Amino acid sequence: MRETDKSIEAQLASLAPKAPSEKLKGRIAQRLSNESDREASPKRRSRVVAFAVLAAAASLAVVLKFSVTPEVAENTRGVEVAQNTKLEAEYLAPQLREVEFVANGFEAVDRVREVLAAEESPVFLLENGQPAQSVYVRYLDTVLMENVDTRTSVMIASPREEYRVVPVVTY
Amino acid sequence: MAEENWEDLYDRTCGRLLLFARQYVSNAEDAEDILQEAFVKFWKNREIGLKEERQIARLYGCVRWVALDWLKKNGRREKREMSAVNDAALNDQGKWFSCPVEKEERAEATQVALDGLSESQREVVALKIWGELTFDAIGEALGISPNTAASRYRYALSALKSNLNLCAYARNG
Repeated sequence: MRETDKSIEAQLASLAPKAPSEKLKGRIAQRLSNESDREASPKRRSRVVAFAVLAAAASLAVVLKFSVTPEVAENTRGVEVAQNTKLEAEYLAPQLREVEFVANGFEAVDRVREVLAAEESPVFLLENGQPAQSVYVRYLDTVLMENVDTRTSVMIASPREEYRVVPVVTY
Repeated sequence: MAEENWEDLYDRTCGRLLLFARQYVSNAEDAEDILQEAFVKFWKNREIGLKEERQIARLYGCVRWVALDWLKKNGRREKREMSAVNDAALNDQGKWFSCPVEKEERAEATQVALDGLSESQREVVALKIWGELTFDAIGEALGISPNTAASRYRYALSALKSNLNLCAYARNG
């Protein structure tokens, strides 16, 4: 699967897109020249706003990391990694973690949590007499990580199971 | 991104941008009109100081926006019929790629196979292969999550393999 993906990517990349006609550049030059008296006013992002946005994004990344990773570490059955110079999939040892990719210059750019299955048990009584149910949920946590410098992407998908006992409110 | 003049940016991206525009319109002249409009809009409104990849992502996003607007204004959504692209001899106007004679057959087969993908898959393939964008940047250009971009790309590669095999089968009998 990996080899044919690489092969088709190489095949596609070997084809050079056809350049536009030469007159197009002239038309663009004319348009920009006609509008040059209205000086382009590129927006300048203030450093304060930029740092605020970066700080907020970093905080969110830290929160997500600490809220997801401990559970993943406990319950991960295996890690499917889709790694590319464009995209491939291979199974790696379960101990491979997101942090190892971070150490190699990757950043998490997207996270998705899918619920694969959910079941609840019949109501039962706890020792204190409170009614409760056992809820089982199976998730698939997927994180897409990218290294902008090497233009490499990695997708880490980790199945995770949770068992919770939740009180049942009766009326 | 160190500020470069528009001509340098145009020279190094125009072919790829045109290919991207052609994912929305089959006519070369329409694609060039779209590219002209998008490039001028982008250059007038560009943000100084952004990282290069984000600038390029916005440029592609601009092309997409202008293309979709163009399609709306023209009162139709062009239906890309495989039969039209499958014509035995693609004239020069219809070709997406420039290549030496010995690669022409492969280029035509690739173009036909690409044309068989859905628009959302073609977009991602064009940006990933020829635009050389990360999924994060593709997400920004298309207004989708990077994860969605990656998923579409995987499905597109799978579909392309099937389409290319079919083309080879049809050629070889």
